[in-house]
Amino acid sequence: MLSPETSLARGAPVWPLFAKELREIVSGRALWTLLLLSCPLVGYSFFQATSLYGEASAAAANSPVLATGLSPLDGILVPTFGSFYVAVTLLFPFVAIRALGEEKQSGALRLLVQLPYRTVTLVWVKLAAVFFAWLLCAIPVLSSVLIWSMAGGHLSPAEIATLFLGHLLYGLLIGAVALFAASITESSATAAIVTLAFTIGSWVLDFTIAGRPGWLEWFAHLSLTQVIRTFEQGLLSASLVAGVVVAVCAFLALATVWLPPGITVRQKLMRSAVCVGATAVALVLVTQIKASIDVTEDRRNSFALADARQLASLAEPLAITVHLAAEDPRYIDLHRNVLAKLERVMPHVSIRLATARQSFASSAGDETYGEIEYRYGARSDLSRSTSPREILPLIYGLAGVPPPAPIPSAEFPGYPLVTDSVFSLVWFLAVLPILIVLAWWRSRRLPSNNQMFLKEVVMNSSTKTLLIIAVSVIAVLLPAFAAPIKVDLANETAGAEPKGLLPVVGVWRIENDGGKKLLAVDGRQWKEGQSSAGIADKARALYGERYAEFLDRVQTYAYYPYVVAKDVEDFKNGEITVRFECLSGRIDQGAGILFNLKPNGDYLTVRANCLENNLVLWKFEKGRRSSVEWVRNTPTATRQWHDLRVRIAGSKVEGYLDGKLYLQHALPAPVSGKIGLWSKADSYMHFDDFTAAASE
Amino acid sequence: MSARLRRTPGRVCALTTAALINIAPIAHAAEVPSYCAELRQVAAFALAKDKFASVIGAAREGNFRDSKVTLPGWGDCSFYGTRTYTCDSQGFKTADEGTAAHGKVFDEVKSCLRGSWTEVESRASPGYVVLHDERDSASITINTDLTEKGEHIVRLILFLRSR
Repeated sequence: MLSPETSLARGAPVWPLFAKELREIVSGRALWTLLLLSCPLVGYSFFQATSLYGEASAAAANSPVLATGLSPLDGILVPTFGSFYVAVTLLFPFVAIRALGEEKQSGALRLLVQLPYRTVTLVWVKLAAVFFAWLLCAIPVLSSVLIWSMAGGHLSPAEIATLFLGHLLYGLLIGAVALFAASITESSATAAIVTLAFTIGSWVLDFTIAGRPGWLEWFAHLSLTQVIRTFEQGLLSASLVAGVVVAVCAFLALATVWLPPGITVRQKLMRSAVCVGATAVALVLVTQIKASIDVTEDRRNSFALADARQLASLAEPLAITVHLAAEDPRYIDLHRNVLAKLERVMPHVSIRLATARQSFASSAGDETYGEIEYRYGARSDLSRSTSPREILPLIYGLAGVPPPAPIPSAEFPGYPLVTDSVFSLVWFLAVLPILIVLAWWRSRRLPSNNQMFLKEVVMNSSTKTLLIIAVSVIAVLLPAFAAPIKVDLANETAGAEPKGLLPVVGVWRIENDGGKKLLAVDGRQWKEGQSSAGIADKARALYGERYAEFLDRVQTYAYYPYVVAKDVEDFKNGEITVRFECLSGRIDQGAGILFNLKPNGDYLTVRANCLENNLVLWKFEKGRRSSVEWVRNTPTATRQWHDLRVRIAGSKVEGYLDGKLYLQHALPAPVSGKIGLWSKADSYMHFDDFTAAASE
Repeated sequence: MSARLRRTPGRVCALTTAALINIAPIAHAAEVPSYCAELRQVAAFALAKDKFASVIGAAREGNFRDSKVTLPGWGDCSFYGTRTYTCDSQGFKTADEGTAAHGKVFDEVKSCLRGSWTEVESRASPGYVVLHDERDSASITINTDLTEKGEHIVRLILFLRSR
């Protein structure tokens, strides 16, 4: 049978309580101060990141190998979110504490606990309000992502979602700690000191004892900042996510224990002990979860696919004994390149630091120092290498299995981008702060009465204003992820090869035409059969380990100039458009959209021709060209700009010239492959506005 | 001197003679152009075993090469690579003049190569016509173009089809 209190609690609406909590947070200065301070902090970090990334991109302009090292996750997102992390660490506790501290100081808490809500409901609603406040605080950093996307920067949804999740969990953890601190202290100031002891204490742990041997290493793992590291590396670890959730729940449970007045300290301590014990058990269980996902595009946390599969099939335990100090750079390399990946992929791996109590400095004279022993079943072997190239064959030898044949997979091409980020400074130093001040001003015009919340179930105007800002940013941001990929030539260098499109065959360069940069293919200077400069690097950038087959085909059949879009991995459905102008060409004046490019060099192209006035779908297989669909009477005047468009829906292909549908064809198999631009023979052509809009 | 080079003058003479013999039955026709013998000679090379090897000259910029055979009345006869022969007509001031010249040249070429080359109507577009030889191993295209000087010209291209 339910008690009257319980039934009342279950019937009480939560929304007014949530609205009241929102009002409480929004009416304080802490949130606005955090937002205003975040603007220059995030803005300057973003500006610095884009500048450095641009310099590195310029250096990699003519080297696909250098370009493969350019990842927006490392170059842009992590540094920018890093400044947000600093703001959350130092300032967010003050925002979160307000959700509880003000009520404790004013005595409103005593009234609150008499309302028909369970204490646990009160605490969870406060955490929900803290979560909402964190979302508002994330506006500056989210806007930086939007600016990066608008500038043509590459974004991986999986990488950014993982990074965002990491910071969200960290924010919730800080919020939970703050609520707990507010529940055990009598004033907001004391609660702030307690919370900062957690957050800044984590920094102290990082700076002083991380990487030290023995129990100090274990202790360093308690640092809150460790939560974000894994997400920054693009690793979505179920154990870590569950661990943070357990920690958040634990702090909320402790806050629930300490919140109600009228309970003796002894009782609270006993209940707290139960909470701590249960949390410890839950954390031990959580650490047993091994599942994790490497969300990075460059698979930095994983072995090559073939190795991963082979290693996963090794059923016996692999014991690794490392004779290196934890702070030794070789151990750090070994852990990052091999041990962490082995732990992820193999079912039974144990790693032991034989020199756990030994420091780097004290290892001199130890002959075994530097050795790494691998024991698989009854067999063992020693190595001093930290490279997977040497260690994996050693493990295969111990297991008695041959090294696997490589599985073809696309190699990370890198995403260089040189962009002018001055606009971002205007946004972060002027526009966004003004919007925040306006929202703050509106919030101050509203009456503030803690007792009004039961009568008021709608949010106040300041909250709505902030919501509008947040929703606007998110609304613009979300489509940006699915926005068409347009090859922007504005930042290209005249006379140089394009960066966004990899020339495979022919002479392709950027030309300046009356101040406007255009892509040109110049067949006048090209000798048939010549692939583009640096084709081996380009082939590797496009097809990774399978580049040899592509390279061989390109070098054997380099009869038709073409470039390949770097940022389009696999185009299956949607529209590809380009504008072109035929300048000259005695033999040909051809402009085509290339698609369905396979790793073996086969492809399709729909091309127009200013000398022939026709639109043709060509198929290229093993270097042989054959027409698939031929449409006559398509007027294509020389020295005039034309629009060429290819629409693909599965196996159906449509070709448009100057907006008119001319060509329709059903292929025997659905289209799937890379895309690019195509030309022929001595054609001298200009291209512009190359855009690929994928659709489901 | 290699055997191949020693044979080349004889081969050129033989193909030229054959072209002249073939042209004789239609030489009386009014539409037969002045460049017909040379055109038939080039067409004969395209169908011969060594293709254009004996009449390709020195390398030019890019993939172009000089030609040892030129069509009388045409300009800039040259090879693109080793499989494509091309000549440009004189320039015309207007597009209409160019279009008229294109039609005239097409008739002349058809007349010259009658019997062995046929028009492929399914490939034709305004300002662009195609002829295939009997064995479908070579093509002739005749198109119009606008030069950098703004002149309208007619261009004849004869190329080997199979690679």
